[in-house]
Amino acid sequence: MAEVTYDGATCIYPGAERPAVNALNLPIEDGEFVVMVGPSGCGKTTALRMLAGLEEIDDGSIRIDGKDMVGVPSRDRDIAMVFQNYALYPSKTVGENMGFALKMQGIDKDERARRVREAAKLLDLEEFLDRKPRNLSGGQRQRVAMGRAIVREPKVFCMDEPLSNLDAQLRVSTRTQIAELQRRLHVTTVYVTHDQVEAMTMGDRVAVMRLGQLQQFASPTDLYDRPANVFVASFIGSPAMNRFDGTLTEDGIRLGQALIRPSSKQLQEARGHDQLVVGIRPEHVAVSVSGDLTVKVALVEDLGSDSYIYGSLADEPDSNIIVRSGRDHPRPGEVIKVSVDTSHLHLFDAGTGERVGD
Amino acid sequence: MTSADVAVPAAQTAEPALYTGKRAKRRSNSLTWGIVGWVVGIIFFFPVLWMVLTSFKTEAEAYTNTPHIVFSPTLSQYKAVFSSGLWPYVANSAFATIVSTILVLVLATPCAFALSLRPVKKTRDVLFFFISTKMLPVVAAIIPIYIAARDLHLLDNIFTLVILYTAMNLPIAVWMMRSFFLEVPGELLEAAEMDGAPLRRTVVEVILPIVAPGLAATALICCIFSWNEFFFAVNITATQAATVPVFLVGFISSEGLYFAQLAAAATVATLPVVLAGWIAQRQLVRGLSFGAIK
Amino acid sequence: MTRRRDTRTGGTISRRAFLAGSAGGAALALAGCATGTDQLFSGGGSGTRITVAIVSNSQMEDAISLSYLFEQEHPGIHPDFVSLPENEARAKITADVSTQGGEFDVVMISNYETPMWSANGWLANLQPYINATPGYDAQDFLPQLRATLSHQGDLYSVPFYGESSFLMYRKDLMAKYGITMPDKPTWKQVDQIAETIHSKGLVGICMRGDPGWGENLAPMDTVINSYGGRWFDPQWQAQLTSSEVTHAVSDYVSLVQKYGEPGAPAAGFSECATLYSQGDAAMWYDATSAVSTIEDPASSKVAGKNGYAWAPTQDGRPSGWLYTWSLAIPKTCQHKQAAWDFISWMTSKSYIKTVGEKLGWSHVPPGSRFSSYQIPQYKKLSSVYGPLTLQSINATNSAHPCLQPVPYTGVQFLDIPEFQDLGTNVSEQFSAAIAGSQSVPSALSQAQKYAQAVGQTYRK
Repeated sequence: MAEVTYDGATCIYPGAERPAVNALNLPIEDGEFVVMVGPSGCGKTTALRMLAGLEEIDDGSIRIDGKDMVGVPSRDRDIAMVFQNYALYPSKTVGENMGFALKMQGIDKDERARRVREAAKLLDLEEFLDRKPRNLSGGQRQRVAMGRAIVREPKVFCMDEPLSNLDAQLRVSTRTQIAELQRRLHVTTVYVTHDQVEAMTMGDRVAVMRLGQLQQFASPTDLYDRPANVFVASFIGSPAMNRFDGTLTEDGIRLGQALIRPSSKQLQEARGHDQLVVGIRPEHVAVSVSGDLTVKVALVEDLGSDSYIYGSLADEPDSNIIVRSGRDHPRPGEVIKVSVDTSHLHLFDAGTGERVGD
Repeated sequence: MTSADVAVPAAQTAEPALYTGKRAKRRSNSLTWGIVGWVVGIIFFFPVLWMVLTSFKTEAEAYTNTPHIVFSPTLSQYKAVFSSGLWPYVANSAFATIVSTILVLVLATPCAFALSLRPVKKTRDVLFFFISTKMLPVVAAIIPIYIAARDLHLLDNIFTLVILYTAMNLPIAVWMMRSFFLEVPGELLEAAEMDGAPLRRTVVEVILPIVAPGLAATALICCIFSWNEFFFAVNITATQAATVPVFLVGFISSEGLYFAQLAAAATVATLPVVLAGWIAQRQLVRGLSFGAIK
Repeated sequence: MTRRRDTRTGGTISRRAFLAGSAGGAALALAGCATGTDQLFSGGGSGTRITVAIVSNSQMEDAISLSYLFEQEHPGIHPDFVSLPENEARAKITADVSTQGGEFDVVMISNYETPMWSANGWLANLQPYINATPGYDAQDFLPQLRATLSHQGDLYSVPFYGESSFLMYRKDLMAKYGITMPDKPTWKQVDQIAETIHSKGLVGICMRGDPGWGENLAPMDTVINSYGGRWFDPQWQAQLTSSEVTHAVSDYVSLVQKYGEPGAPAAGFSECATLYSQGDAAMWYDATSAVSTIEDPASSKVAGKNGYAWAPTQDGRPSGWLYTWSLAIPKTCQHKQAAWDFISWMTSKSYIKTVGEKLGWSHVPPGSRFSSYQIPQYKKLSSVYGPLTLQSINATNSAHPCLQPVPYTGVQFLDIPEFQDLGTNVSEQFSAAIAGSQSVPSALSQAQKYAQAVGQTYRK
């Protein structure tokens, strides 16, 4: 259990045009579950591996419990890693896999066996202790990988997309198990994933990354309710937030033919940013006879509990809009009117993409 | 969901396509290829088969103008072979083969490791240098080697053969072991690293068990090459260190009949290698094709 | 593969390990003299070990199997044998003796090497040893053999067995077809007889066609000599396209092509031996030592049915070749007396008696000593071919092999070091001519080029 601090940490591959991780600042608290999320190539895995010691820290530093880790080899960092492909030793049994690190530390056989059994109990692996990895299912292997990390009782857990090789159903159940486990063990965990659902459900705080740069580091709620820029806004939330180009006018924001009226506070904060990107989540757009926007429906996804209407603004056929609706929904091809909940408008400067206002 | 038609399509009631059309063609194709495979196999194996058959004939039988496949077998040739003092030669061959193979493995494994999992700038050049040593025919080097051995008083010395065979097999072993090392997933090494294993233990506990079939295949290949090696053996050894191939060739007589006895001696000489190959054939096939698949 | 710029230094080998490794390596290097696993695991015996390099023919194999008797007589000497086929043995022995390697104490050479090597000073003079060995009776050796193995009057190697060439034929087939074989046939007569036999569906005559200076060139050379041809004139101008040589080679080639064995271009001694002893050929012109194969009932179907005639000639002069496997001691030998003890045992009269008694009289090494043919059992056994063997050997003239004067010695070879190469190259041309892939004139003109190249080096 320890604090982890990324302090301007940079990693650049030789010959690359831009750094893989560019001056990352992440103050992680003791016992916190931090998720790093972003599209491929955003640098999240690299950042994780910098912490684990598998990538060089070219500039800045990473501190664990206040101690600078630059130049410190992995084995001295007291970090346990769960790999995406589990990296189990194929010639060793589950028990030997889990006990390997302890063996390297010189811990005697009985103590090793005890700790392995404990971890096995936690992960429901007791009956598999004598099996080899090739005789295990994907989910069981994943648990062994976790067990291997747990047994070490390290300061930090690093997890590199550990769920991505599981089938959808297993993913959901394992997700909750991991979160529960972390809460129980209270070990600082840095978790990398490309799946924003995992990020939102598991993390205490989430770091959204893009092209090596940190976009926003906040709790899932904050990310959802107050995304710091257009990228975060469109990355977090499924289906994605609707985004329109808008122009600031005296009394509102012009979206094509329509005029949206945000609160006067919001309008005031938007002063000075004439071109805006207006964001509104599908659940804050509703089918309404008296709505401001006209939408031509392209297709409807009926999910049982509710439905999502995909369409475009009538006067801008190239635009996209998603509207949440209920069981009773329009048909494809219809033209409907929708209203916008102006209390949930997100405004972003069209040039910088940064959030405008609160 | 759209409701489906209830009527059964007409095609389902027709003759199943198993014996006609594409599937039948595939079956007859595989039969043809099977026959071709057998024919080719027999053609390649035939000389060996003939050698074994001949070893059970008398000399007169072995030289008949129209070769006989049916004959009354005799063990007299084998008796002659075993009473002609072949055991010292077998001991020499075994010693040279085993010791040189052990040396090769001990040297090639760390070398291959360095060239695969810890590559340096000059890796490609080093690899090319290794394989280039096999491009020179042995005959071109025999004179300087002979003279050097003579001046160092290393002629007719089993250790000279050990050194020569080690040098001869090392490039092959490095190349083979390297391809096996490349099969080891990089993540495993990282996991071992994170688990606190120093390099030596990573190699011994993690990597070696994975490349073990590769090691077996490499060892077997080296054994085969060393066991069968003739040119160095005949030139460098005389009486003390002569190996089985040299012993074999002593059965060839310029004036006289020798086919049957030679066949018996040759069969005995190839037996150890064939046996080793038979025992390790699964490892061998796996090891030799492992690298080729990726 | 993860990119990894290693911050740690590569593992440095510990000092101790390095020193241990070098010490081990040095120990290996000092392993020194001849070491086989025998020595490694059991330690050598006491006494003198001598290394004997011989050719793996049956008569030599017999000597190896009887060598325990030698050790009984000489308990302090232990011979180790290196037995290889002719080509490999020759290569190994030549490599050792010419580089003064000292690997061997006794070497089996022939009347090809002895004159050259004794002149080079590579061999020990055996005459003093012979003189000091009572009862050895070097005069018992056939005089022609003694002549070719001597240098300046002293013997530098002693014969183990000798041979010339003669014509072997099936008496029963000749009788069946009413053919009389003259005692000294000409090649023309042989041609006619072969034609007759051939018309009855058998192979008329077996003659070597296999390339090699000791294979097809041996009989071919005797034919060339007999037709009056020669390889070089006294000024070392090559004569291979002369009319005599062309005539000789053409006749040989056409005889083999018309009435010879199938597969002649690849037929060497063993192939002809097989064919003839299986009863498929009526005549065979080859070494006198072939009797060991064709007269051995265990391997030959025609044992006892054979007649023997002098080697066929063209001009009436005896044309048989002269060859002997002999034993010599390289100058570098450290145990010359022990080596001589072995050699004298293996070439002595008593050895011949021992071989006959213990292994059978057909195993007696032929054509070396007069006295062999006086032993009653062997005289009886060899009555059909023995006298002719001796006469053929005695009739050879190694010093003046050709009708016209020549600058070289040797009947079926030229006693020059280049002959192994030259002879093999020329013999390949002849083999191609027999196969029909070359005409005789073109084969000869190519051979002439080879010979000219060699002759040039001698002209300087």
